[in-house]
This record gives sequence, C-alpha cells and structure tokens, in this order.
Amino acid sequence: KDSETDVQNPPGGRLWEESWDDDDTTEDFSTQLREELKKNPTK
Amino acid sequence: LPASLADMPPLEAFPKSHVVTFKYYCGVVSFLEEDYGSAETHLTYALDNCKTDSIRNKELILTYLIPTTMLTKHKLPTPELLSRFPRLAALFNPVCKTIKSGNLQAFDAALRHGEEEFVKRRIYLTLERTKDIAMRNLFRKVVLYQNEENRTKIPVRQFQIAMGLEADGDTVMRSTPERVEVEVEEVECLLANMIYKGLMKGYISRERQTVVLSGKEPFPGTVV
Repeated sequence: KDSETDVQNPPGGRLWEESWDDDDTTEDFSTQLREELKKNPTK
Repeated sequence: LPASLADMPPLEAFPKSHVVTFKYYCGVVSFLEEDYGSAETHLTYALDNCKTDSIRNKELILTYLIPTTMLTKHKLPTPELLSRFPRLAALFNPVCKTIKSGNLQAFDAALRHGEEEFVKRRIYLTLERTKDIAMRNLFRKVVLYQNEENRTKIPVRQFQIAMGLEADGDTVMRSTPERVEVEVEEVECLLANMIYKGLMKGYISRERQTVVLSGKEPFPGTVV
C-alpha cells in the first residue's frame, strides 16, 4: 500500500504559534500578577 | 547511524512510506541524543511527507516534534493543530497553557501531573527544559505590566513577586495553596541565566537591586 500521495500536507492551518501577544488579560493568573506587582510600586 | 549512511542507496530509491518511517526514527534518535536541530529537520520531513490520512503516524511524529520545536524555536503548537489530535491535546495542552501564561507553579504541577505519560514517551526531560520559556514569558509580563516610563529599569523585587505568585486561577491543579517565597538570590541567579541564554537582553545592577533591560527588544523574538 505505497500509493505516493502528494497531497498538500499538513493540510492548511499553521502548526506553530507565531506570537505571544494574544495575552488574555482576563485570565486569572495575568490579572493576579498585575495586581501583585501594583501593590509593590516600582519607586 | 551516520556510519551506515554511506553504504546506502539514495533515499529517493525507497518507497515514500519507508522514507517517512526512516526519517521518523532518525528524528527520534536525534531527539533522544538531545540533538534537537537534527531532530527538527528529520521530523519535519517525516511530517511533511506523511500520508494525509495517517493520523496515528502524524501523532507519533508530533509527539516528538512539538517538544523539539518548543526548544529550538521557542514556539508552541497552535490550538488548531492540537484540536486535530485529541491525544496530543490531552498530552500537551496543560503544559502549553502554563508556558504561555508564565505561571511557574502551575507549570510544575502540569509536569508532575503528566509525568507518567511523559516518561513513557521519553519526553519528560525535554519538557522540563521548556520551563525556561515559561519563565521568559513570566518575566516578559513583569516588564509589560510596568508603567511605560519604567520599563527599562525594574527592581529585582518585582520579578521575585512574580515568581512566588501562587498557582490558583489556573485550572490544572490547586494543591499548592500557599504562596511560595523565592529567595532574592535565586531570582537574581535565574535572571542571570535568562540573560546568559539570550532569552533576555540586559544586565543586573546588584548594588541597586535592579534589572536594567535593553531598550531594544529586551525579549528577542517576542516582538517586545
């Protein structure tokens, strides 16, 4: 069963995430982090 | 393996399905030898030439290609990719999610949670190394969450707070309720590591307890 398939492969769709920027700001961890960091102001 | 290659007829002389299998095993061997560059090349070839409908084979190839790519390119599989392979989704989703959020406590929990399966597939050690990316993402968030004008000089304390943040909120596990206090020396050491590995650009000013970040692309490859 060696039918040589030359079908576009893998079909459509990206395999890997291109960016880290679709940061979901409503996500609990991010929200918590933001708050914790604010409690300890930079200056 | 490389020694025997010289005596072999060209790969094109073999049926494609055999070549794919051969490349898959080459990839796995490289992977186990921690030669991730070669693993990536072989496995990518195998995936690209694998028959479209052989889901199981693709699943096997991706089991190694996903952790490989996380290390070589610092990239995660897209949700679309994982959604086509439920077994891979179950395997990698929890870890990928925590890498993305930078939640280190949850990352450790996810690793522990999947340990048996990861060890069985011999990907545990490789996944363990992706913690660097989780940490890079966490530190990146620390920087992004600072006020615009303070983004190049950040107190080590801020990174320390971020590292100690507890795991609740992430759905993976809630068994580590108490806040982890990370020693400031450890934080400095990890920051130095990030800088050494090229995941972060800048230096640590020890007398001021401050991380001074490069004004241009402090986190190379992440568009920040």
